[in-house]
Amino acid sequence: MMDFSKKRVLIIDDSPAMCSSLKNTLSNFGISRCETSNSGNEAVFRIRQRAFDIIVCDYCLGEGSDGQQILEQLRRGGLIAPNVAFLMVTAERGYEKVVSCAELAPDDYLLKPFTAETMRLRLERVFEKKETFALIYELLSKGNAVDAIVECDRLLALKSKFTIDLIRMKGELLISLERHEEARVLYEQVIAARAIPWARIGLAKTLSMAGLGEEAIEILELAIEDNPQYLEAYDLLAKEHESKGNTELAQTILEKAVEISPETLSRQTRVGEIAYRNGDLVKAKRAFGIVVDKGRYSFFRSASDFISLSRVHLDEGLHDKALSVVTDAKKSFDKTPELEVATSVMESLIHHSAKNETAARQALQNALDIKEKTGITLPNSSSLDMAKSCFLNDKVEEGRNLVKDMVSNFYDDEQVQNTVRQMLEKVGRAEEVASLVDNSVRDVVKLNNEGVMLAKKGDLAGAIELLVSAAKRMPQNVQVALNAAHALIVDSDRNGWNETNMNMARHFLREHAAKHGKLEKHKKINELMKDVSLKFGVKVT
Amino acid sequence: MSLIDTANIDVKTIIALNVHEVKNLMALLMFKLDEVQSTEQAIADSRLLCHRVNDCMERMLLLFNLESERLRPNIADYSPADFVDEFVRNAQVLAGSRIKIVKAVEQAPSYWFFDRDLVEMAMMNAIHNALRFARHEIKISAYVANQMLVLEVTDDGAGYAEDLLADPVTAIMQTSQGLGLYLANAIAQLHVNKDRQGQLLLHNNEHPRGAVFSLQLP
Repeated sequence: MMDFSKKRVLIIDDSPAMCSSLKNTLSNFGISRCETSNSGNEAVFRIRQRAFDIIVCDYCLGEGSDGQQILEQLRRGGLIAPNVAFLMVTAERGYEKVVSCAELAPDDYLLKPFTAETMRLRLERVFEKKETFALIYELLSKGNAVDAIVECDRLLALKSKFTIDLIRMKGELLISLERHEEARVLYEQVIAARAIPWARIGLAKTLSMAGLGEEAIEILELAIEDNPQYLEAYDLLAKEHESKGNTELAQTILEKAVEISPETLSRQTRVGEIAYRNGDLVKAKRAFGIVVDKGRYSFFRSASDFISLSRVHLDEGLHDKALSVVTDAKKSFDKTPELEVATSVMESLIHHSAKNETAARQALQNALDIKEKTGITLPNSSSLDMAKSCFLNDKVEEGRNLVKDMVSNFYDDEQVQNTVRQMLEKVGRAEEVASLVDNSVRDVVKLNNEGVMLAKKGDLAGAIELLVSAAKRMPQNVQVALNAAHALIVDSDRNGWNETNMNMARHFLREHAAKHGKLEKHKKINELMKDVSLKFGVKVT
Repeated sequence: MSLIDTANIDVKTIIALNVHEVKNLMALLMFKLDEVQSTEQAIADSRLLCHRVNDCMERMLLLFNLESERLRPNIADYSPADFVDEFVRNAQVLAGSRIKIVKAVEQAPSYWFFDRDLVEMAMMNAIHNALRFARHEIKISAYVANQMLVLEVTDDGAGYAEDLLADPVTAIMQTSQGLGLYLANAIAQLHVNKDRQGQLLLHNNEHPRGAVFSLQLP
């Protein structure tokens, strides 16, 4: 029998009677360090405060939250380590559907009523599996997916009962490293034995990565036909259609997924965004309305949903409603510079539309001042609103600069360029699209090429000067940042260790690691960074 | 027009809420029983009764789901040995000291794809029957035959009645044992892999005498 006496447990259940009963049950197998929590929010708060080994969570938590939402928040937010056991408890057989269709599953789930013995055995199994996967988790925590795959292979050779879990893990890791050919073979093997939904999804991902969009769509449609509850399939299918320009079909697909699971607010947000891009104000308003309304007491709420809803109201000419949503946003969230800028910009747009020119200018000036003072980087939607407001309120130069920055930051993102184009047309500056959008894209490509050419010709100092200043001007442009980092590292390699330069290179790599860490180029430069550091005997962190 | 119609109540929602409540209460009741540290037969009997009440409700729900919608099994990979192990331990608690439950999983595959909760329900029903008819021992085994996972419950009782083996359909209408078997068969049939479908096979052993309940899952 496994020793549970050292384990720290948190029970989450909205019924105090159930909490105390579960606590008693757990004490039967030696667990004395056990806390209980009657609400999801409180539970998350506790988990932030201290680490638990086991979390037992009821699926039904009453108003506003369910166990699956909590699980997703904990795992996505990195609030619990992979070696923490998360057990879902539920009286609904319906949860089976949720669990088999969710991207993130608990370690196991128990259908009520169950016996103490069942619970003990399930916990033992969960820890048995965690032990098997321990080295994989450790390697992944260090970002070493390559060796984690090697460990998967070693364990797979043992042909244990965890074979399928290991294959699933290996497939995900291969995909994260863009080794989609290998992943594809793996998924095809699983499907040959059993057409398990996650294997089909994995196969579709690898097909999409290989540029076989049509084949991916076929697989996803098959997956949905057999398992209409598997929502990830809808998300991928929508993405696939959107990338082919079928934005209206993509919207319909996402709407279907939302119909099946109206509780998943992040998908509602996506429906709102795509509906807005499609010019479908009615659906956009509905979706953002639901997110703002239902998300009020959820941890998944975001001020940008309020702004999006306000924007839809404004487009419909409903100034009062638009303004009240902005006010609501200011009341509902902590006052950060980002929020202040976003709300002020929105206010300026609403006032302008309502012909309150003085108020519009004041609000815009306020936003510009905060941006200037704090130097924050704005999300795209805020930048776009701000540029629009600048054009409308006679701050044309500021507007142009904002647009140029946006386009240079995302010079390879057509969606960003399209939204910028649409905005310029709306404010009556269609004739500037060529000079602002197309030229900015061309300029960035040219500048990037010049920097790379200088480096190739051996003028590292020139390349560094050009690329570093460009990277600082366009913090989100990953290509420029990587080229700058590359030049900085090569310079140290050839001309001796330069602490300031190497720190800067490390900074550029880190800034883009989360979003672009799997880019081949990012990985190569990261490796070079390590090699050069080793060469000069500098400890790699 | 009935009262419910005029009040415009969503009957389905109310039933669902009540089922939810009953299950929570059953869970509490079972935990309370687990807290009683006693070897008394009355406690073991209470546990068994608890299980049977729950079983009845699960059966009604399953019938309801089979009737009203296409019931989709949730197939995932599980270790049959672990499944049987958990099952035997729970069954032993139900059996008390009167009947010994043994397992045979040496021939079990390391993993198999099935709906754990549905299969558990079918097997639990077999156990309840076996506990009523067995004299000394019930054996639960898992192995592979003809590319099917076979989950078997064998008892040492008098065996299934001849008329039940001969005409299970009629038996369903008459006894609760029959209904349980009907549902176990439905659960087996919900398991489909490529062109093969699961099934329930019943027969009697002669030496030693006993009933054999055999779920076959592709």
